[in-house]
Amino acid sequence: MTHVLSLIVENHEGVLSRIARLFDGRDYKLESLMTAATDEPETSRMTLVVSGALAAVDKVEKQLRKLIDVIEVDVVHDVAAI
Amino acid sequence: MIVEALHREKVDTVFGYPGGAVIPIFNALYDAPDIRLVLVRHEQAAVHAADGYARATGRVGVCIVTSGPGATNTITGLATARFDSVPLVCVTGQVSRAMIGADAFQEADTIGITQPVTKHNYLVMKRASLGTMLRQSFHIAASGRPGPVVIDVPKDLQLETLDDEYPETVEIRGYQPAGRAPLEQVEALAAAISEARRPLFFVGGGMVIADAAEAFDGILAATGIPVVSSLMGIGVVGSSHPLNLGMIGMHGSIEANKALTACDLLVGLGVRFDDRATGNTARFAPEAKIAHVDIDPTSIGRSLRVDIPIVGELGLVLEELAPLLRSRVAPEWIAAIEGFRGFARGFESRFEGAVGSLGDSAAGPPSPKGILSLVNELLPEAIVATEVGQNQMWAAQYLAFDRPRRWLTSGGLGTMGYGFPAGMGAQAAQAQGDAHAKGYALPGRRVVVIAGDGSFQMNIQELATCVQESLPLIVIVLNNGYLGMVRQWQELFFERRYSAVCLQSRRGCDRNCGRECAAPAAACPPYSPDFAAIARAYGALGYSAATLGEFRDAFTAAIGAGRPAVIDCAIGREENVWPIVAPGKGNDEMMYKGVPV
Repeated sequence: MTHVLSLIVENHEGVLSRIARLFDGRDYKLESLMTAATDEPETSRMTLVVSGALAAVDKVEKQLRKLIDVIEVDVVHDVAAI
Repeated sequence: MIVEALHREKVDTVFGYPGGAVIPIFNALYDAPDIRLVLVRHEQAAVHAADGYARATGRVGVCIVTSGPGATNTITGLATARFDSVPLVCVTGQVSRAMIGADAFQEADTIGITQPVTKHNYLVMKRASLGTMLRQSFHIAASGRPGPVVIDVPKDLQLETLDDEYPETVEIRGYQPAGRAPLEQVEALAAAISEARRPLFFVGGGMVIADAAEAFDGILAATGIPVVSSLMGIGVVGSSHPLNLGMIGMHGSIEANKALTACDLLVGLGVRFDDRATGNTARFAPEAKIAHVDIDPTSIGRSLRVDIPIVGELGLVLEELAPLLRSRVAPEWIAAIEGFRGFARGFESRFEGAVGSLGDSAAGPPSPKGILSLVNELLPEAIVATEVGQNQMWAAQYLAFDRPRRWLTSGGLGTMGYGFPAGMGAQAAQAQGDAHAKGYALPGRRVVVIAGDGSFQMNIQELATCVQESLPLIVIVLNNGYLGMVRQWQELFFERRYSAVCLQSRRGCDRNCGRECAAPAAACPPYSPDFAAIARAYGALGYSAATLGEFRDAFTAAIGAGRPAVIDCAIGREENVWPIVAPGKGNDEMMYKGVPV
């Protein structure tokens, strides 16, 4: 299954690697990652496309919410196309 | 600004090691005589010391190290603290901003390297951000599920002056640690407890961090529900409390593991359901519904299925739970618990006086149980730090604790080399009085380190620090000449093939000595080093004890002397930790002295 996670993150040192690292050696996979500026200079929007079972993606969502530089997480589950 | 932050955060002790990239910070500390600056001998020990300070006091531990190797040496300490949720702020120097990424002298990608082993980290790139980042570091380290925070400060930025204020308040958009749990969830837990016929509490390190032991005592008194603990939960309930069955898991007590297997509701409070505690999860509490209260949502449901998950701060959850619990536990369950206790004592007594037992004779080597019983007797209020391995498990089994924050041990990462410097940090905290103490801090107490001969050598250089700082901690080395826990596994699971565990052997030794020689000790080469002589060489007191009587004399002398001391105890070489749940087995499949329980 494919899921889309849309994040608002602080533009701090290391934020991208912090997020990417959550996908090392897990039972879910990062298919694509896009990052873009927002209208606020302090933050960026990251869009992650993740494949994996629903339970696994719930885990990654919890881990993302735990990251201090992640301000918002929106998840769209089980999408056919982006 | 960094020293200003230390003052504002009421930091009284800093563990550190200077270097090129932090000279400006140490230069500022030169003018802050109210902050005790403890110069360690290795950066790893600085972090462990700050960790021991933090666990013993409940306050944030602070260490300051230089860039490059200074920072990389902290990794084990940070990973230890992260695993056991210890609040630390570690300030690392960094090369000047213009040099970052240029392979400058003593440069390392500190925030990249420390990311997986910290709760959070910062690289400060603007002087104006320094105050905010420091304030956030202390806040993040101490709040929610605590953990270590690294703040990496380039040298040129340390030299930049700015007339700014340390922020009063802290606001982090992406960080809201859990507080109260939804009331209906707490009500559901209360209902489950009332309905259960065989409920059991399972307490862990989270209860220590939440300072929730007193509230929990009230719940135990009102309900009469028995309780087991994890390694990290030792001390949450007093060792002699009638409802306390002790530690569960691989080296847990027989009665605790039996109760676990029989219960129909297991309420985990501030635990992780770590694999050493659960054993084979398919056989873990097989008849029980599992409730789990934790402040960290990612720790719930990580290793096993949870029926009643509750995310919240334990103190607040227990406060709301207490008035909802009105009924007392069924007498049949208490009778069953007493049955488990009776069975355990009966089973253990079958081995009293048997070959290889833990009994002490006047002339024979002192037993771990005998030594630790004397610690209970002669220093009943001591704070105890342990190393990792057999020494740690014996200490967990035989030492008695009346309250939390007296028990400092590396539970998650299992770091050999932790105990001695952590004990040193805790002892430094005792000298500071209780001006800022919180919760269960215990000013003025002596610290005892329970070490193995292997793990003590991983940070033995800190004897110099203890002497320099006049820290009167007592290191008890349970010396069996082996890396004992690995040797025990090799004995039990690898046909006594003692590969790389003997610390006495020489090149000429028979490599099959573990298999062909039943009592190898007599003909073995002398142990190296002589720990008592090493201690004396550092300027500490050194004792050797070959019997329990000699240990008692040495320990009594060390207590009286009030100086750093090492007592080298020659225990039986092949003494094992019992009971044991073999890897892959369930907690109901214990072995005691080689016999299935």
